[in-house]
Amino acid sequence: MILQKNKNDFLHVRNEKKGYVSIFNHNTRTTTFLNETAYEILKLVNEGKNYEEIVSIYNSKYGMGENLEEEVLNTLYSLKYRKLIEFEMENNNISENDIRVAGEKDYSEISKLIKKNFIKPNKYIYMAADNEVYYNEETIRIRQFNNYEYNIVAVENARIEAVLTIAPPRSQFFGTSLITGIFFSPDMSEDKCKLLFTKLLEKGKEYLLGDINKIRIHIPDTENLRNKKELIYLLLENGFINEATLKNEICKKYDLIFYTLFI
Amino acid sequence: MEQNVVSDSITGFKYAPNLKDDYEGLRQVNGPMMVSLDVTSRCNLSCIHCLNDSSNRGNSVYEEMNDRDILMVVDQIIELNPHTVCICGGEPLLRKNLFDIIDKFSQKGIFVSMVSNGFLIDSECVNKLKECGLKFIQISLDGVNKKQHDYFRSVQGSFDRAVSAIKLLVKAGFNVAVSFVPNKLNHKDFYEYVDFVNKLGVISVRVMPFLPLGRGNKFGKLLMLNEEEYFYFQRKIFRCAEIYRGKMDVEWGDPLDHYIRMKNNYKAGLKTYCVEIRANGDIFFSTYMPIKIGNCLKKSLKEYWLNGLDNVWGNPTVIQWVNKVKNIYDFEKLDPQPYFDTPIEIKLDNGGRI
Repeated sequence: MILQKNKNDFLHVRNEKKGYVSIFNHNTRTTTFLNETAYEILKLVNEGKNYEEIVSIYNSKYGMGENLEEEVLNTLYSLKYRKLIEFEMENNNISENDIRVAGEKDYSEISKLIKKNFIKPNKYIYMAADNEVYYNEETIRIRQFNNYEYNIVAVENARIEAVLTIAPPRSQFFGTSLITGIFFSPDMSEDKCKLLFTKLLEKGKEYLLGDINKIRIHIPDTENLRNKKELIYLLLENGFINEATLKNEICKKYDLIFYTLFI
Repeated sequence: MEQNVVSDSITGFKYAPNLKDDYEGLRQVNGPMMVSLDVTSRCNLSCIHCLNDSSNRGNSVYEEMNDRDILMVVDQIIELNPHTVCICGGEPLLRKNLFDIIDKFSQKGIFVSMVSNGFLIDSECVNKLKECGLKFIQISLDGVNKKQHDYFRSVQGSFDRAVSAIKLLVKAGFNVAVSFVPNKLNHKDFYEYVDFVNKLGVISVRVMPFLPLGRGNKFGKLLMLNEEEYFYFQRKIFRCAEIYRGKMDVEWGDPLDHYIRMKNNYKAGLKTYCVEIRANGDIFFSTYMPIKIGNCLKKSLKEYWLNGLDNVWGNPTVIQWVNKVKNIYDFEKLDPQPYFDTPIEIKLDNGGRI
């Protein structure tokens, strides 16, 4: 991962109490707050340090904690989301031709990929239905065949590595498509998951262009969704915005947060 | 009226409340995020809806500071180091040392924006504004033709001058926004208006309801839209916001939003984020509330901040006033009236917090 400071923006920084800083970006006209550590990491990026160097600095400072790399990465993503730094992802050798809509021959493999995630979930998966039967080969096929849910797949070496399922607009939500599933191979690296999601989403937009002006995803606001934070970063990075929250939905058990991508 | 369109939107102060650090950061601030400074209360136009009662004579309640005093106030603001300063009025360009004021702020890296009717903006003025480091300007434009705008602004030729100003500013590379107050004369042409300003190259359209305050209350109320007209007008705004998403912002500003938000923010431990300084140095924290907390010529802004301006939204008198306004028609019942009458002065008590 190559880190770069955001060269185009002029930032006005003010020190606040307890180590916090507030930063105003003159170009985007937005204010953001960083805690002491995030600001330190921002300064390291601006000094030209890369990801490994930053991890090593924190390693020597605090010792190798269990979640150190993850914490640094999360902070970097948070800085990127605030448009304070830029990332260049490493090349993952997936060409545009390898991203396509699924067909009759693909449902079996899609089903297997999803079911592997029931055993060992990838960090970035999202599934609208927490039920294995829902992801049987024939049920996936019926949904796509009847225009109820499309599967966009990323194929690498003739194997399906990632799937994005999108429900096209229904009459009552005209113009809005709903993401009903995001699946990756359980062992796929984080960077690759992020890259593939962006590409799958682009392809999804291309297929549905003309029918939709927004793509929405419902994230349950519950502790049971362990990868909620990762999912939200994935969505924010791809231009989704927090549109609304439905209180006490799904049998009044938890809130549903709507993230929406406007097209 | 220019000022109230601006109070929340021109700051560009957008924080993402779902991010923990932003919330915690707002509890730890050492000063306001934004300061709005009225550099004058004089105005070359005499708009029907003006809440400040600005005119050639200026405002009798807020006589403007002399050049030395206002530069001292500028230093006080710089001491608190806000991220943005909005230059308001009256018409700011009537202030002789305006460019020195803007220059002082921009030298410190503070983002300076300004609100103007555009009447006095020519090529020379645009160059000066560029040189002194102004970053953002909002021009008031209330229609697609002279009939709509000039009647509302009460001066012939004001539409042509405003449009000319927008063209010059866009050409010079400024980020230009326009403000629009819907009324009986212009609301039906809103689609045409948005298309017109988009072609002029503005980046943002800021719309706020006509308020029964100031001259708007005394003379302009007949031009206010009724319920049904507002309903259809709002639909047009949201439709335009969708159509122009990514190309130009179309915003519908709620003047009551900060009443609700700041009251809740105080409860959550968040500090005052916007402070307003009137032309005579009086310090306020809301355009629409006739409550002042002191004057910059008596004590420095920082002293006021440290003595409770940061927690002013928790002051019992302020809470009492906030609770008086539940909709925009409640503004006309306020006594004293903001800008028209002498304001109430409250004693800061750190909002009851230790």
